[in-house]
Parts: sequence; structure tokens; C-alpha cells
Amino acid sequence: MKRTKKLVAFALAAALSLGLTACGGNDAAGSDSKGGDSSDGVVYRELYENEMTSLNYLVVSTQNEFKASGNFVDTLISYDQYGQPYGSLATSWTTSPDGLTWTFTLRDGVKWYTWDGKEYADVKAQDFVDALEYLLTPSNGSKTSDLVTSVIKNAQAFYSGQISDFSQVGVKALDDKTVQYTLEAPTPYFLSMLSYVCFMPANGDFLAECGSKFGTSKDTLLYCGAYRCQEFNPQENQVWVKNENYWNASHVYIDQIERTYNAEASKIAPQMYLDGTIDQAKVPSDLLSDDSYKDIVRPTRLSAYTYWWLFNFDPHFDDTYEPANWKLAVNNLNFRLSVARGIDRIKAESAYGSSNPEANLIRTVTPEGFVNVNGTDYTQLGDLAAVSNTDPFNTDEALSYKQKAIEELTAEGVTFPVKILMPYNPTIPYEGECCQIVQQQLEGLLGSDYIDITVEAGPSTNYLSEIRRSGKYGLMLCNWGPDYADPETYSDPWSLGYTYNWPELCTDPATLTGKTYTDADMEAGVFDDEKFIGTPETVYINMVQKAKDEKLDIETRYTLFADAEAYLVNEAFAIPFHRQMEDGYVVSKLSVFDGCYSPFGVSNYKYEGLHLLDQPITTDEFYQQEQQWEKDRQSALTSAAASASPETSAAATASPAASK
Amino acid sequence: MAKYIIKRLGSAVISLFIITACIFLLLRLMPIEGYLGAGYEKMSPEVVQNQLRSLGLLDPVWVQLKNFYVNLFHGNLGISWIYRPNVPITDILAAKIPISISMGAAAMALALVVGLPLGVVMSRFKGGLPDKLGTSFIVLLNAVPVVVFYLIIQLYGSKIFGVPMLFSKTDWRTWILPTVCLSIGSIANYAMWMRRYMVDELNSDYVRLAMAKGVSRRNIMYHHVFRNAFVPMIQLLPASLLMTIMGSIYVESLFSVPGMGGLLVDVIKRQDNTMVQALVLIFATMGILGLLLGDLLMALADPRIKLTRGEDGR
Amino acid sequence: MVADMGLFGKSKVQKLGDSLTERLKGNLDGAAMTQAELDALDPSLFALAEYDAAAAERSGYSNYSYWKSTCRVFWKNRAARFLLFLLAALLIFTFIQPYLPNQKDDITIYYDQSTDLPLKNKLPGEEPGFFLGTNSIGQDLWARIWSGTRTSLFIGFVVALSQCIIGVGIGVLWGYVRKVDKFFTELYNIINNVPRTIILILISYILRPSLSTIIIAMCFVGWVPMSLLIRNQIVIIRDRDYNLASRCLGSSSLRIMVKNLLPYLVSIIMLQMALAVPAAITDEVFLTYIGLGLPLDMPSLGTLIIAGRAIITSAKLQYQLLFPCLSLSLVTVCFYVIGNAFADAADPKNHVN
Repeated sequence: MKRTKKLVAFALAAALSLGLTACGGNDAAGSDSKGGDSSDGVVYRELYENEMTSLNYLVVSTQNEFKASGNFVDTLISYDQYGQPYGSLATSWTTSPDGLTWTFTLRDGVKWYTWDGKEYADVKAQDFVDALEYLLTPSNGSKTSDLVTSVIKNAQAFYSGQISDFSQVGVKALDDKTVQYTLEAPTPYFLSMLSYVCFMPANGDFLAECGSKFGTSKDTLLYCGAYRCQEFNPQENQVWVKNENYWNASHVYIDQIERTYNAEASKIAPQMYLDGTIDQAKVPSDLLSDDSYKDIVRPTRLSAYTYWWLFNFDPHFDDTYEPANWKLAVNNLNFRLSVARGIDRIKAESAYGSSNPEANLIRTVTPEGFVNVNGTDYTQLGDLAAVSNTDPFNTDEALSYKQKAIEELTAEGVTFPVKILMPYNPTIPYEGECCQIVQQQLEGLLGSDYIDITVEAGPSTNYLSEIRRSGKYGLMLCNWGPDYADPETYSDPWSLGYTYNWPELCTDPATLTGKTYTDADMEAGVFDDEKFIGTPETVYINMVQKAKDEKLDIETRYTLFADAEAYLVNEAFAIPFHRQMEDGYVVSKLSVFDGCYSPFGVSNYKYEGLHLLDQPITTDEFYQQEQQWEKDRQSALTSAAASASPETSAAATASPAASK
Repeated sequence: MAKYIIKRLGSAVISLFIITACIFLLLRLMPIEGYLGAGYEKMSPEVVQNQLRSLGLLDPVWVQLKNFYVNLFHGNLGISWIYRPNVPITDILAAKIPISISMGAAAMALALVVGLPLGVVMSRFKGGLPDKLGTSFIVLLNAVPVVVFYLIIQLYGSKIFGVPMLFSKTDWRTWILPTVCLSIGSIANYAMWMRRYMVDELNSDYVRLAMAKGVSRRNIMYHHVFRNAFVPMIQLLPASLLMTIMGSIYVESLFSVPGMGGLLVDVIKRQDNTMVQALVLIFATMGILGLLLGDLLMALADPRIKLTRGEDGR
Repeated sequence: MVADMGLFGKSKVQKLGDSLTERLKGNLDGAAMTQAELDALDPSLFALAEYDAAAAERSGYSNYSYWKSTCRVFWKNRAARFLLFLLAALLIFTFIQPYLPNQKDDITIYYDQSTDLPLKNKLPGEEPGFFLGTNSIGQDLWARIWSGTRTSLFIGFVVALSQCIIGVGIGVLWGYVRKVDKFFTELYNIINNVPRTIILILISYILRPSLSTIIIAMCFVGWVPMSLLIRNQIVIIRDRDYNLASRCLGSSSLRIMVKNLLPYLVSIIMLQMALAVPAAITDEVFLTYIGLGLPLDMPSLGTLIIAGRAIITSAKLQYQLLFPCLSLSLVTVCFYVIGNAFADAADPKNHVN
């Protein structure tokens, strides 16, 4: 057969040429010092797979766009390499004793530049006011206004049209260099919100001049951050050049960033990296053991998004999956725990192809290293310490819970096996495979006469609305990411009005406080939809509310949140599973641990502080550096805790990179 | 003839009207989650309502449809919603169409230059080695999925010929591989049809007569057979050209060609309704015009073909 | 009888004429008959025959059977015969493969007994029992390829069959009944210009990704080119004299369509059907490519190829792409060659040798 021969020949040629380039690629990496063309300084080149829709940082809400926003426009507050806040556009700030008024003094000599580097105007306090007005005008269609309306005084009223005078909204330019925010209620984490796009400044004249065209191209945007956008050809390429006049320009080590769009980047980027035409490429986990990559590939940092399995307390799925039977089973704590203890998470994680699956697993909803009190990590506070120090996978416990569950549920008239509908999002890589693994593993452990899991693909469009929000699942992998630096941000999915798994509908009396919500609660702002009047209050929400009310003593506040979270996990309202790596596995000449670090806001996307290395960091080096970083971070945190006083904090003017 | 063209154009306008209305209504069946993107998870109901209102999605469907047609009659394709918010669609397309046209035309020219002679040679040596080789080539092209084919051409072609993997407008060498990829399917197609028409013609009586009269085989092939065989091909060409202009999603996404290929799939998946409507309008117009142009060309090339019937049988 | 004449009359007459010409040519070329040869002729040949009604009806090919001849001609094509056997074997094997001894399941993930980790990306033969190795999560590639081929062939056959039924039905109506020509032409213009992707995405939104979704979506858009092709052919032959005659003799339109026109198109329809099967499989690859493919628990050639394509840059793992591609190519070549050979065989012109 001619064809077979030809294909075999193809394969042979493929194997040969790949082998050859593998050597070539390594040689090139050794001799070519800076990767890019060194005559223009340090040039970093990469492929990107998803085009950003807009440069308008006041509107966009996805990570894809934050990458540009964070590098083009500076924020009042930024985060250093250890995740500690420092003043970026602001040099110092004060809080009023009631915690309602925050006053920021702006850095001198910061200017707006056009894309080609011409000076446009000074960055003034009024720019923050104008930006907020733009953001809170509904017709501008901002997607991040929720964060502003949740904290700033009268912002919600202005947004929904109850007041039309913007001067009543809690943001003021006291003079050119001083901007003052007034809050609706004391918010301990307000500072962390300022590193988000919705609190970025914007020049009012320029906004008015551009109108709806603001941020649609490189010349309808002003720049005050580390980079300017020299080329912006959507679906083609982008060139960012260093802003020499950036206040911290001496710590921007990459002079030019060349980004080329390619819709199939995941397939061809690794090869292009070997050819030496780009400096970073994501490597699919299947290629990890490939000879060309195994010595140069490394993991990336874990994202702050956490994933957990959820039991659905409000099933609306097909009768074939017996929703009534499911409802009886899921309300039984022993049943839930038998599943929660029975999931072999390392096995499940192996679907994602990680070389070190254990490192990605989590035991709590809030990830380790998110916030801390005086150097003690949040996950080690209160009851949460026990949760985060025990491995939830325990076959003996799972089987004993199963025995109890069978006894109790048989009495209630549940038919076995309990059918568990487990849908997955077909557009998310490896999620389906992970579900298949869990299905086979759980049924194997607990017995298919106890549970009968059906793994089913959901629709590829509109997945969340179709499946999760409409309650068409039994057990499902869900996730949530933080908006600001406070454990409160991770409590949202189980709060009223969220469409995750409706724990308020759990009929187990032990999970309820016995109180039902009334009109008074709605007026007090506990919830904002009348349909919740008459809903019972859950123990969890009650615990969270207590924590929320504690606004000044951070240690007590965090401990209360930690207790609530421990309750959540112990009751198996959530089964924490894993975090994913921000970029999966990469071969990259970028350094990692000298860049800005924060799990929220845009600091994480900055190239500031990062170096372009001669050689890629290997996996071993990555883990070594990470350990070192953890150690340095710990000492940075304790020293910061020692020096800072709780009421007012004067930010260090020195940038993180400067200390290096 | 003029009357015929006017009649065809008239019915084309009606078709376009119906097509756009269908698309418009179909798009209104799309789920709202798609309009809000990844940020939907964290938006409050109020923000969601505002987003939808600013897109005009809260109006009754017939009002939206009316607005759409009013804008269309003013020659206004509108602005993009999601793909690149607030950018006029004409601007987006103006950057993409020239690239797709030049690459499509190059691919088409290559396909004609290679495909037609291949078909002629195959028919000339029907049953011989060239015919067998050509047929295997055609079968092979049809048998291996293009998704794989193109990737192999890109990965190994760039290595063998030493050209960059990705397309760049300014570097002519980067045009080669994507053009080859785009044309390779058409080459097989043209060769197959050309061979078929040539063989049919070679079997016809006038060829036998010419042979009997002692006209040289070469003369018959090029002056008689080829001309006649080319007529049915002509009808295929405009539609085929338009197809290549629309671009190939595979080729353009692989080589980073900033053209039209894949644009439609992209905007449909992102639910950028105004973009979808504009693209459908453009593609449908091109499709209908291509068919008309093909008919006209065929009538021009072969005087025996009449587009208008003098008398209608029934 | 009229219909039969319509179908075969022309070729018979042509054939008769051809053979007469041949003989005549032979006679003219050779020298005139000698006297001896003339004497040898049997005088009874030149006697007047009695009128015999049956003999008058009898034609030179009275034992001609269309399908038998078609099969006979097809059978002579050795390549096609071989591929037909191959395809049949393939088809049968996809069904019996799961019941053979020592077969793995196509969706079960296999674990290493000692380390309890999935047997991922094991090369062909590296792990005993996994003939073609395993894929990126530890499923048996051999079982998946057969299961995928089965699914893809099923999709192909169902889609081809429904395309054929809908497409031929509408095509014949469209071509023969002039009153509906305009309507169908406009309908064609509209349907052909509404991008399929929109329809496919909408269908996949309304229904979950599943086998039936894919089949429905493909059937929904697939009949259009088929019916156009049939329509064009019908337009060419509908005004031929034998149809005119048939109409004059009072045949109904339905009879003319079914008995006069359709038999003429058997070869074209068969060819189109044969090509529609691989085309549907290719379409399935495209759907998987743009993210609208089958769910994971149902391997198909599309999902296998797209999964294999993701790791094409690793020379070691290219077997995961190579084997599904081989299977797809084999199926395509089989259908292509068989379809063409059958189309040739179905053309009565090729029945005389």
C-alpha cells in the first residue's frame, strides 16, 4: 500500500527532523545570549492564542486584557515580589480613624504619554475622578463596576440612576496631587482593590475626545505604565516598548515585548521555541517527557482560582437521574462525607498531566499564601488549621461513612445505587478526563451498588447557565477566584444569591440556625432580592456574617472566616480539589520570582522586575527558587508586620525591585 | 442578456433580504451568557442588564430587526460588539480583506497553473503512468484530513525550505507555505474535473472525425478538446475564487494569517451578532454573485449555451 | 417497456450499430469472398422466415439484466474488489473487536498495578496488552481506534443515507417540476448562503453534544449540494425524446420521475453516496476542530485525530495521530475507489465489451 509507506516515511522524516532540531535548538539557546535582537536592547518574543478585545481598561474584565492594562497604565497601589503592597502612583496614604476615608498623595512628575512617546499631560488627582465617572456611567458598559459600587459611597446610587450629581460619589480630587475616596462602610481590604483596573486613572479630556473609540486602538489610549503599545494589529501582532519615563523605569529590564498572534499557538509554539524564534512557549503536558523539552520545561505558579467539587442541593436534572432520590441522599452528611473522603485526588489530578500532582492539590477553599496575619498563613488559623493539615482522601473513613450512610439512607427509603450526575465542560481541557477518572475510581472504591456516577458532557456554549445555574448536576467541579485581599472574597459562592450549590436548601436541621430571613434583613442589606424572604439562614452564612461584621481586628476577622471555612469543608458543602498553574508548563527564558506577585488585581501581569535569562529555568531550579522565595517572603512578611502600625501606613517609596 | 442579469440581481436582493432576516432571528436564539464573556460570573444582575441594554438586546425583536435594516439601508454595517467593541466593522474588515484576496488569488492562480495541466496530462496518458500517479495524488489528498496535512506542511515545510513558520505581510517567503496549503485542495479538484471533461471530450464524435481527417493529436488536444473541456470549468471558477477569498480557517489560524478565514467561526462563537450579520451579508452576496458570474462567463465562453429561453415548453 | 427502452435503448442501438460497422469494415478491408466461400454458405439462410411475434420482440440481449451486468463489470475491477473486501472486513471487525479475547475497553483508564498511576502515553508495544499503546490519559489506543472507526462509519452511513434520501427526493422534484423550480432555487440560494457553522452551533446549543446532535446537524445542511447535483442532471435529461414519448403516452409525472429519470442517475447517486461517507467523517473532524465534537465517552476518528494533532510536535507520540489517520485514510480510499468503480459499473455504456 503506497499510502501506508508514504505515511511511515512522513513519520520517519518527522522523527528525524525533530531529533535534529532538538539539538539545534539547544545549541542556539546556549550561544544566543538574549534571545531577541540585542541591538534594540532586550527583546522578549512570545506567541499568544487569544486576542484581547479592547485596550479600554475601564471596561474589560478578563485576564487576557488585564495583561495589557497592567503594563500600560499604573495603579495607585502595586504589589511587590513577595505580594506586599507598595505605593506606585501614590507615594503615601492615610485612613481616617473610622476607616471610611482614604486619602492618597500622588507621585510627582508622572505624566501621560501617547503611544509614540509624546508627553500628553500630567497624571492628576482629577484623572481618578474622571475615570470613576466613566466607569459608573452605565452606557459605557463597564464590566468591572460591581467592585466599585460595592465599596465607594453613593457609587451604586449613581450607577442605578438614583442620583445624577457625580460630586456626591465618594471620590474627590482635593488638589492636583491628592485624591480622596470615601467608602460606604469600613472596608479593611480596600487598599488591595486599588490595584484593580476599575481604580485606574484616565485623563478626562482624552476620554471626552475619544468618546466611544477610547481604547479601541493604540492611539486612542494614553500610557503611564511601564510600557507603551507601539503596534496593535489585532489578530496579527503587538509590539510594546518600554516607557523610559516610567517612574520605576530602572527596574524594567525588558526593553521591548513582541507578541505574535497565532490561533494554534499551543501546537506550534514549542517547536518555535526550539527554533529560537520565541522566548516562551506553553508546553502541553503530554510533551513533558519528550526528549526535546524534558530538560528545559518548568511549571508556572499556581493561579489563585481554586476548584472544588460541589454537591447540588437543588437538583433540577432529568428524572432518569432520580432527583428525588438524590435529594434524600445529598442531605445526609455521611453520604456526602463518604464521597468527599473517597475521591483519590492525586489520581484525579493526574488527568491534567502534572509532573508533581501533589503540589497542585488544595485542602481548603482559600489557597495557601493568600493572606496572613503577622506572618501566620490564613489556612493555619482557627479550625481551618486541622482541615489544611489532614489529607481528606481516606479510604477507611470513606468506607465507614458509607456504612453509616447506607443504614441511615435505607431507613429514609433511598434506593441504591444513588445515581450521581456529573457533567463536565467539554471546552475545558482535561476536565472530562478528570471526571472519568473520578467516576471509575469512586465507583471502584465505594462500589457501584452504592453509587452510580454518570459522566456527561455539557453544552460547549453557555455551559454554566445550562448546567450549574440551572441546577442540572449532582456533583460537579466548580471554581472561584478572588477579587481583593480578604478571605471574604472566597465565601461568595455559598452566599445568598449565588448560583453554585444552594446550601440554604439543605434540609439537614444541623446546618441551619433555625432563623428565617425577614423583610428587616433585606432592608439591612443582608440580601437584595425579595425571593429570599422566608429562606432559612444557614450556619455557614451566619458564621460568615459574624466575620464580615468584624472590620477592625484583622486577626479575629480572619479567624472567624477560617472557622466558617472549616465548617464548610467539614460538612462537605465543598470538596476542595486543586488549583491550576497559571500558564501550565512552559519553556521560558523569563525569570519568575523577581516579578510582581499578587493573587488579585493586575500587578501579577506586569513585566516590571522580570529578567530575560540566557537559559530557561528548569523544573528543579523552579522549585528551588520557589522555596527560597517562600523563605524570603516569610521574612519580608514578618518584618513588614513588625514595622507597620494598623491605623495608618506610610508606604515605602522604594519599589520591591529596588531592594534587589 | 441585460434583462436576464437584472432579473437575477433582483432575486438576489430578495434572497439577501431573507438570509439576513433569518440570521438575525437565529442569532436572537443565542444564550445571553455568551454576550457577557468570561466576566459574567462576577457581574451583578444590574450590570448584566446594562450590558444587554447597551447592545440593544432588551428591545423587542422586531424593533431590533427594523433598526438593523434601517442602518443597512444607510450603508452602515454597524460596530462590533464583542470581537473588538466599538470598532466599526468596515475598519475591521478593511484590514483583513486585502490579505485574503491577495492570498486567495495567488492560491487560485497556483491551482490553475498546476491543476489544469495536470488534468490534461492525465487525460492524455489515460491509464498510463502519469494518470495513475495523478490519481494517487488526488486520492491521497482526499484521504488525509487537511487538519493534519496543513500542520505537517507547516512544521516540516518550513524546515525543509528554511522559511519562517508564521506569516508576515512584509516577508514574501512567508507567503509560500500558506499559499501552497490553500491551493493544494483546488489543484486536486481541478485536475480531477479537467481530466474527466477531457476524457469525455476525447470520446466525442468530432474528435474521431478530426483524427480520421489526420489532424495531429497535439492540435486536437489544445485547439479543440481543451477549449471545450474548459467551458464547464469556467462556471466553477468564480465561486471557487470567492471560496478561497473567504479563506481557510485551518490555514489562517496555523500560519497567523490575519485574513477572513476563521473570522466567521470566531465571531459566531463569541456571539458578536453585528459582525456575524455583516459577514453573512458579505459572504452571501459573494456567493450569489459568484454563481451569476459563473453562468455569465460560461455563456460568453460557449455561444451554444443560452441563459434565457426563447420559448418555454410548459 | 417504454421505460426500459428509455433506459437501455440507446446503448443497445449504438452497440448494434457499432458492431455492424465493425463487421462491415472487416469485410471491406479483406479481399472479396471467394467463390468457394460463397458456395459454402447455407442457402437456408436466405429463405423467407415465418412471422413469429415472440421472435420479433426478442432483442439481441434478451438475457440482459442491469444489476447483474453492473455487478459483473464491478467485479472485474480488481482493485475495487479488493477494497470492497477490505472495507467489509474492517466493518465486521469494528463490530466483533470488543468481543474478541484480551480486548481492552475503549474508555476505561488503565493504571499501572504497582504505582497506581495511569498508563499514559505508552508507546505501541511498550506495555504488554496495549497493542497500539495508550493515549494521553491512559486509555487503550487499539480499542479506541476501532470504536472510533465504528462511530465514524456509523455517522458516515447515516448521514450519507439521509442525504441521499432527502437530496434525491428534493432534487428530482426541483429538476422535473418546473413550477417549483423557482421556489427551490431561491431556497437553495438562501440555505446555501447561511453559514453552516451558525446552524451547527445553534443546534449544538439547543441539544447537548452527542451522536444524534452531530448527525442531525450534518443532515440538516448536507442534502443541499446533493439535490442541486440531481436537479442539474434531471434538467439535462428531462426533455429527451423518450420522456416526451412517455409523457405523450400518458405516464404520470411520478412514474416518469421514478421510472424514467431516476434509473439514469443511479451511477451518480451511488458515487455521491460513496463519497458522502468519507465527507461526513471529515466534517466530523472539522466539528471537533472548532470545538463542537462528540463527548469524550464516545471516541470517534475526529476526536482521536484532533487529540493526536495536539501532540504532533513530539516525534515519540506521533503514533497517536498516525494510527487514527491511517484508519481514516483507509476508509476514505476504500469508499473513493469503490464508489468510482461502482459508478463506472452502473453506467450501462460500460456493460458491453
